Formats: sequence, C-alpha cells, structure tokens
Amino acid sequence: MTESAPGGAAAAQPDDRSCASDRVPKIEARGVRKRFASKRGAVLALESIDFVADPGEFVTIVGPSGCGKSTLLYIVGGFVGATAGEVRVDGRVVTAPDPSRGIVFQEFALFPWKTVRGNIAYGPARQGIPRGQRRELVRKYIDMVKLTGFEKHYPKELSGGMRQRVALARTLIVDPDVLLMDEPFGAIDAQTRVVLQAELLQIWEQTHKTVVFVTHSVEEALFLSDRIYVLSNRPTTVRDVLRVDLPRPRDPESILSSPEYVRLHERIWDLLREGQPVDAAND
Amino acid sequence: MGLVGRIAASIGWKLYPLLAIVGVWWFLVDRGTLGNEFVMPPPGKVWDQARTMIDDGTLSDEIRTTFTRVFGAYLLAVVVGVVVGTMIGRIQVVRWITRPVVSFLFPTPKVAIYPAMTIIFGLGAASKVALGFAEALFPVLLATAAATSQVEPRMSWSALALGTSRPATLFRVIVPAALPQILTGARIGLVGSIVGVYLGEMIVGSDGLGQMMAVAYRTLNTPEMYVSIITISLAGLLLDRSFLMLRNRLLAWSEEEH
Amino acid sequence: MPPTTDDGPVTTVRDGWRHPIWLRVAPMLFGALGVAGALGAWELAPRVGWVRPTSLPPFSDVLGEVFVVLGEDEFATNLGASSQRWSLGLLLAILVGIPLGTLMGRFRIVHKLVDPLLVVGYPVPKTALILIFVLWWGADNVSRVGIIIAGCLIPIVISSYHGAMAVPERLMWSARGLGAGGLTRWIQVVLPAALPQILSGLRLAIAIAIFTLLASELLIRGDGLGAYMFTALDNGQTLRVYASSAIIATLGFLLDQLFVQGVRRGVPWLEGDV
Repeated sequence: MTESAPGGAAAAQPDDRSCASDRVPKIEARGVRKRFASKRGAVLALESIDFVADPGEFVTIVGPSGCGKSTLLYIVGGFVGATAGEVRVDGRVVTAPDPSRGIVFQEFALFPWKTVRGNIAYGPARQGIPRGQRRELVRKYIDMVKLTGFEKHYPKELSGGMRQRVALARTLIVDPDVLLMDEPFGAIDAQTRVVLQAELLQIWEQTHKTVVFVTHSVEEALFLSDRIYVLSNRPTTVRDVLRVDLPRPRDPESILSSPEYVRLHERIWDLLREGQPVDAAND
Repeated sequence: MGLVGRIAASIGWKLYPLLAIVGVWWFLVDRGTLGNEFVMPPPGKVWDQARTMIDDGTLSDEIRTTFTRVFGAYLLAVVVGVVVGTMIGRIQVVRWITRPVVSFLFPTPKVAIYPAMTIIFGLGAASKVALGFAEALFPVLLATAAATSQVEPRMSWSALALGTSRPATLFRVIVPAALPQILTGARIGLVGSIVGVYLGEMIVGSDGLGQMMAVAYRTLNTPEMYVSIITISLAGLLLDRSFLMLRNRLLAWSEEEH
Repeated sequence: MPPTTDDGPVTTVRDGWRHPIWLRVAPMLFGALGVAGALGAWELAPRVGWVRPTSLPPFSDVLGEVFVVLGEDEFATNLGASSQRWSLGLLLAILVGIPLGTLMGRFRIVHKLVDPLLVVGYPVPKTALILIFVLWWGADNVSRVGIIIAGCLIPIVISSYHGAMAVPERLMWSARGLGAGGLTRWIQVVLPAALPQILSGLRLAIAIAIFTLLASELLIRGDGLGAYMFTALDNGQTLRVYASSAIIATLGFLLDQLFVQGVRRGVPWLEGDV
C-alpha cells in the first residue's frame, strides 16, 4: 500500500508507527477478506483490504461499481462479518453493530411507519432518555438538518433530499464517534446534493467525528475528504491511498480549477481505469 | 360523521348500483321476463320474508351462528398464518422444510377436504370452522411469509446501529414493515373464511345462513333463499369495507388500498 | 459500551458463509424432510392412537385406496364429467373476461358501465349462487357451468383490467406511429403488455374454477367428482372419501404446476413467475 503526497512535503505514513505517532487510529482494518456464496458459486468480493482512519478524519472510499466498497463499510460497521482479517475501532475488535458507529444508507432505510420526529427520536428512545428530554433533543437535531416544520410528516411525503436529512439526524442524535456513510447522496438530484454536501461538512467540522464515506463520484470524494482510498475491481484490493491537500473550507466551484484538484482527479481516474478487466463485461 | 356514518357512506356510495339492480330486478319480474314469480320473486316478497325473520329473531340467530364461526375461523387463521408465516419468512431452514407441503396445499380447493373434515370434526360447527380456517389460512400465511422475507435489511441494520437488539428488531422493524402486505393477505383471508363457513353450512349442516339457503331450497321457500344470499353478501361487504377502513387508518403512512 | 472483545483477531464474525453446493442441496434435503415428516405424522397418528383410525386412516391405507379408485370406471366417468364442466366454464370465462377486462382498461365508458356490476358481484360468495342458479336453470349442466363462469369471471376481468391499464401510453403511440391499425394494436401491443397480469389472474381462476366446480357437485350431486366423494361419505366409505380428496388435491396441484411450467416455456420473455 503506497501513499502519494504532494511533491516535497513530508508525508505521514498512516501505518508507520516508528514515527512516534501520538494518535491511535480510530478505525483500523487489516487483511479484510470477504467471500460471498450463492447457489451459482462463490464470489470473492474483497481480497485483502488494509484501511485506516484517524480520529476526526474524513476518509472516502471510491471504486468501480460492484467492487465491494459498501461491503467494506458494512464490515467496519459490524453488519456483515469478514471471512478473514479484522476491524478494530478504538483498539477493540468489531463484532456487531453499535450506536458508536452510526450509519447512513442511500435510501429505503427510514422507518416508513414513523414520522420525521418518530424516526429521529428512535435512537434516544432506545437509550432510555425520558420523554421531555427527548423532545428537546429531537427538536435540536431537526433544526440542525433544517427540517423544522416537518416533524409530523411521513417519509413517503418527503423528497429524497429531505429523507436523507432525516437519516442523518437520526444517526447523529445518538452521537456516534464514527459516521459511516454509504453513498448517501447517490439518489439525490445534483442541486440538492451540493447543498447537502456543504451541510455535511459543516456538521463534521463542528462535531469532529470520524467519517468514512463511500461514493462512486470522484468529484464528491475530492470535495469532501482528507484522504481517499481507491479500490480496484473484484477481487478488490486497495489500489492507492491519496491525501487530499486542498485547504478548507473548500468552495465547490473554485476548487475545480485548482491544479492540485486536477492532478488528483486525473490520478484517481487513471487508477479506476487501470482496474478495468480487458474484456468489457463486468460481473 | 362518526365511524358508523363513514362506513355507511362508504357502503352507500357502492350501494347505489345495487339499488339500480334492485330496480331492474323489480322491473323484470313485473314484466315476467325472468321466469315466474316463484323462481324470481319480486323484491317486495323477499323483503317481507326478511322482515318476518327479523321480527321473530331467526335472522339474527342465524347471522350470529354463522359469524361466530367466521370470526373463530378467521382469528385462528390469522394467528397461525402470521406466526408460521413469519417463521417461514425469517428462518431459511423453516422455509426449506415447509415449502413443498405449502406449495402443494395452496392450489388445492379446500372444499375437496371438507368431507374429510366432517369425518374428523363431525357434522356440527367444528367442520365449518375448519373449512373457514383452511380457506383463510393460505392468503394470510403466504402474504406474511413474503412480506417478512422481503423487509429491507438496511432498515434492520439502521435499527441495530441505533441500539436495538437483534431479537427486538422482529417487532420493532420486521412486523411494522411487513404489515401492509400482511393486511392485504388478511383481507383476502376474511373473504375466504366467510365463503368457507357459508359453503360448509350449505353442504351439510343444521344451522347458520348457509343451511338456511339449503333448507329454503328444499322446502321451495324461494324468498328465504334470497334473504340468505343477500344477508351474507351484505355482511361480507360490511366486513370488507370495515377492514379496508381499518387498514387505511392503521397504515396512514403507506399506500392506500381500495 | 461497544460489545467487542479484546482477545486478538477474530476471523469469522457471523460471516454467514454457506457453501454453494450446500445452498443447492439443502432446500431439496429439507424439503424432502418436510414432506417425510408430514406423511410420517399422517401414517403414525392413527396407528399410535393420537387420532381415531376411523376418523383419519393412515397414509398408506389411503394411498392404497387411491390406486383402487383410479382403476375404477365409475371414477373415470365422474372425472370426465367434472373435467368437461371445468374446461368449458373456464374457457367461456376467459373468452368473455379477457376482452371485457382489457376493454375496461382502455375505454372509460366500458369501465363505467361494467364496474358497478363488479362491485355488486364482488361481495357475493359465488358458491351461494349455486342453488339460485339451479332454481333458475335446473340441476343440469347449464347451472353447473354457469356457476364456474360466475366464479372465475371476476378475477379474470379484474386482472385483465389492471393489465390493460398498465400498458404505457408510449407503447400505444409507437404502435400507432408504426402504422398499426386498431385491432392489430390490440393483439400485438395491449395483450402482450397486459399478459403478466392476465396470466396471474388466470392462475387464480384455474384454482377458483376447480373450487366452484367441486362446491356445486357436492351441493347438487348428480355426477362429477364432488358427487362421487359425497356418495362415499353417505355410504360411510371413509377410506374412499380420503382417497378422493387426495386425488383431487393432487389434480389441483398438477394443474397449477402445468400452468406455471407452461407459462415459463410458452412465454419465456416474462420476468419472474405469475
């Protein structure tokens, strides 16, 4: 696993402990391997993945469709078990889902039988927070995702963008250290996506959570993250890890012309293209 | 408008074609087109018969008899159907084990087993309840199995990541998510239990609305035949509409059914 | 408190791995187990005494009787009579129902005319009409076939209606643009597009037809499988009753399977089962 750094600057190797790193990585995945079985046969989705995220970092995983980037995320979250290898969060092995690792999916994960308020209040209710306190807390998070006034709406009455706001609030309200995001803006229209991305960054900057973000959009990855993992095709490995040294706060339009952005963009696309098999058909 | 008022309005709207048909019926009889008065008595005669039966209480007795059986059969079918259906939907081994037996029994006309039921359960109420149960079971069971097996796993995962324990996801996520489809199956099951009980009473029985029809036929009391069929149809309509209203209220968050 | 352990690398964390070969074999294995269990229970219960053998004869006895019955002429004639009624009733219901339903789906006028009839017809249990039909038309085949038609018509009409309604307008415009006349459009666009729904309704209708047929025969007697079964019941021939039930159940299953397989082969472009 290599890491590219801007020319000249001393690059910090994420797994070079000999550098007296004073930070224990928040998330550490080693040798993660995942094999799926169906009647038709076995498929090796993830070959051997090493992955690290430091506390408060915004890390993105990009890769071609079907490469298993979501699967990796699910393994980190504890929803799916790995065939081999391990994932540690705060030094402890992940074996099951937990509120300290919040997840936001692309769609269909809200509880349709609950209102906006009901969905967001779900986590605190499970934590045993009494009703009065809960109300206050829910109100705070509804305001945070700018859904004030929609408390009593059902998910079926909301637009895609609004639903994702609910999903975000529902996850943030239990205050997870780690935020896992599975292509959360993939089903949203382009304009709303830009708005949501900016709001996500705002929230991240205020709360300092460790974010692992999966997307197939290179532009989105470059706009949001500190580091980007580029995955290959199946059987998936990490092709490269890139540090995004674009200064924050980032403006979605002006960064497009920054030379660093262009360089990274090209680099990632090269990596993605190289990963394509010779014959056109993908699994 | 109270609840009864709303049910009445819902039915009333659908009833007006019925009134039109009654009008046509009376007209045809009057003109003698549909055979003689014996075979097709005018609405007036049928109504008189009904009034007599309401007044002396026989109609309400028979309604009570039949529908006690219907509710018994239906309740049983829903409980068994939902419980077994959920097990089939969530546990793969159960699905594998039950699949051949269920697929075989599903297309069977349950009435084919009715004579056997009378042997096992006798000629009384139990065999009617058994037939009603058999007719109602499969729609509920299949709908529940399908619905519970198709719940979006990421919904359950979200619940897990918000602090729900794995067993708790069954009633916090799976059942609510599956409810629309389960209730659709339950609605079909309701019709099935009514048909089953009535048919059972018609074929061999000593009381109930179905038996009323069979006896009236044998004693050549044609108005009473019509009273029987109209009563069971109206009752079925009432129950179906009520069920629908209940469903749409319970499932305000999902698609409405008509 | 995260429920994690600290004792070294964990390799399989509920990773849900099942060998592909097992995934192919297991359904059949467990399925056979299920069938064996059901039949085994049927065999044992009367023998061991959980159920009275006079009420529920053991499976092997019933199976034996099945073969006896199948060899009899009497059974064959009754089967023939029933099959004729069933096929005729179903056929007529199809010939009337599909055109009616599809017309309803494409023309609002037809829908407005026919819908009230459906609404009134729906809550009436068709089996309740059996004796009324006999009252009108006597106890011969007209009422028997009529009741089958009455039973199947509504599901066929409704499914054809839904199927025809679901035909996207764009399909119709393309056909018109390519010069297809009215009837051609109908046969070549509406019908195929509505086919999945229609076939789904048909599958249901097949089962309903058998059900209504049997109900009428059990009620009115005369000839046919239902009458045959009822006679056996009257004569106290318990074994024969069970054998007939088993045969009819199997026939119902076979017809359903035939339909599904026939659709799979005859209409291969259909996605999924009906």
